[in-house]
Amino acid sequence: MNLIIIVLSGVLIVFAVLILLVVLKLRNLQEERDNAELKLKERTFQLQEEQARFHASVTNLPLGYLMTTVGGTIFTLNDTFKKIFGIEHSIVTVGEIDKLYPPLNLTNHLRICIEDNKKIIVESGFGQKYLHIFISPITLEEQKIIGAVMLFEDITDSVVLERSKDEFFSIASHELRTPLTAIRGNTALLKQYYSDKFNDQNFSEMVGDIHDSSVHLIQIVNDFLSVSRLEQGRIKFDMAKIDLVREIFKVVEGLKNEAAAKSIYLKFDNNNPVWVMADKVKLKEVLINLIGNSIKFTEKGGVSINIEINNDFQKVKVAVSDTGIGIAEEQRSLLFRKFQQAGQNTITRDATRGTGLGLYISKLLVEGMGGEIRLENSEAGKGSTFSFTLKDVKV
Amino acid sequence: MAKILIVEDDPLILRLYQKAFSFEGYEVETAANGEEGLEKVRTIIPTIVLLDVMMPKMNGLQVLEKLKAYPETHNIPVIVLTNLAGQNDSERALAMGAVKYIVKSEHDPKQVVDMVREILAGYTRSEVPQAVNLTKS
Repeated sequence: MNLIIIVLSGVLIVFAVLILLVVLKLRNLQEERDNAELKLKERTFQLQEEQARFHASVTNLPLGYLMTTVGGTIFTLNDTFKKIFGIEHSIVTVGEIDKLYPPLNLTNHLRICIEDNKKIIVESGFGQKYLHIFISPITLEEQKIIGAVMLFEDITDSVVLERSKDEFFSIASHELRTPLTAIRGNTALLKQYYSDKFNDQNFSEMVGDIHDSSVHLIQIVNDFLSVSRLEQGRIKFDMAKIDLVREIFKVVEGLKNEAAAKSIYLKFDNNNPVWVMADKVKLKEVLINLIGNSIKFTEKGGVSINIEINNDFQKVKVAVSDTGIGIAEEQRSLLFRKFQQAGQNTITRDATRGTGLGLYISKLLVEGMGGEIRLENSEAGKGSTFSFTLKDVKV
Repeated sequence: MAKILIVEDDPLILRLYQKAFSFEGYEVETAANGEEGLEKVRTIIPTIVLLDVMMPKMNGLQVLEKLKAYPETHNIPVIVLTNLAGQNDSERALAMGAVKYIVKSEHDPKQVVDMVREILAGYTRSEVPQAVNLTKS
């Protein structure tokens, strides 16, 4: 009997313990579930937050925004996009936009972006509109592309502004040059055909000064126009294989009278052709500027031109050295800037009758031909050496 | 003496070249726009034409095209005188059959007269080149 009681109570105890364990486990599970639910809520809230942030960013973007699948099905687009494209109804694919504005060809740009898996920037437009289009792939880990983001910037206003600026310069330069030509021409005719009537020396000097000033003004107008066009990248470089030596000889020939008038030498010895890639007209302008400058700033000694061929870098260097006034240390950094003339402050600058644009134009021209221009060395009172490089061409 | 026809719409520039050529003993005729210029070339048959580019009614390049298209005028040498300094314009004018392209502001009038004299001297030594060859380049 006792044994039965013992066994029974033992079983009961085991049961009680089991029940307790179950209850505890259940409670644990409940807690875990509660925790999970809380986490889920938190996560959902975070997602909502993220979505709200994303939505606000996209909606308020001053750029047209469009997100698409790899195949060109549109996920999201913003109001700016609709405004740029003048679209009121809903659109489903990128192809539909192409149908409305065929020159855009977005489908093709999207394809290129996905195939190359890299960001592309396209300048395009339709009708009177000009656009910058940025297309960027959306990649999941391990290069898997799931779509693309397109941004559209309406640049119509700036393009129109740029254009009118260039037109203004072209028209202004033409309109300025015509009356200046009349002044230059008439004063030249006075000097050439009426000098016997100039009994007064002051009178003849005045006519001469008017003539020289008009020539100077024409040069300024030309320089302004060149700078404006070069800065806007509107000057085309016709690169061709040309003989550098021949071009230098031509310029030296043209400037030799100027050097002779100051009784200084102008030296260039080179017999064999040196072939370079350059735009003939622009190269001539750079040479005239550098050699002309050297002559202008040299009173004793002279100017020599040397060619250095660097086979390692496939470059040819032209160095123009003079024994002129040199350039002071503190002026050197300003040399190739707009409107700068070394050693000239604003009050005395017109003494040399330059525009202060020569070296700046030369720099833009040399860089446009893929070279570099610099001041090699200079010493006040002893002279300067300027150099520029061009691309070498193997014959 | 050679007969020069100057086609130029700016009265000051027209007068300037008219004087420069008269001083050197040339016979000078003038026209104030492209249309008038074309008409005068046909009636006067000048030795050489100085042609401005930017002009009302018909621009210089249009005049040049017409002159080169007609057999009775296509042998008359044409010098394009302009103040547009674009390199492309000069290439275009030369391709269309002009014998020279001169930027007005770059030269004193006497230099322009000298260039014309040089061209005319060349033409009298050898026959006037067939303009057809030039237009097709």
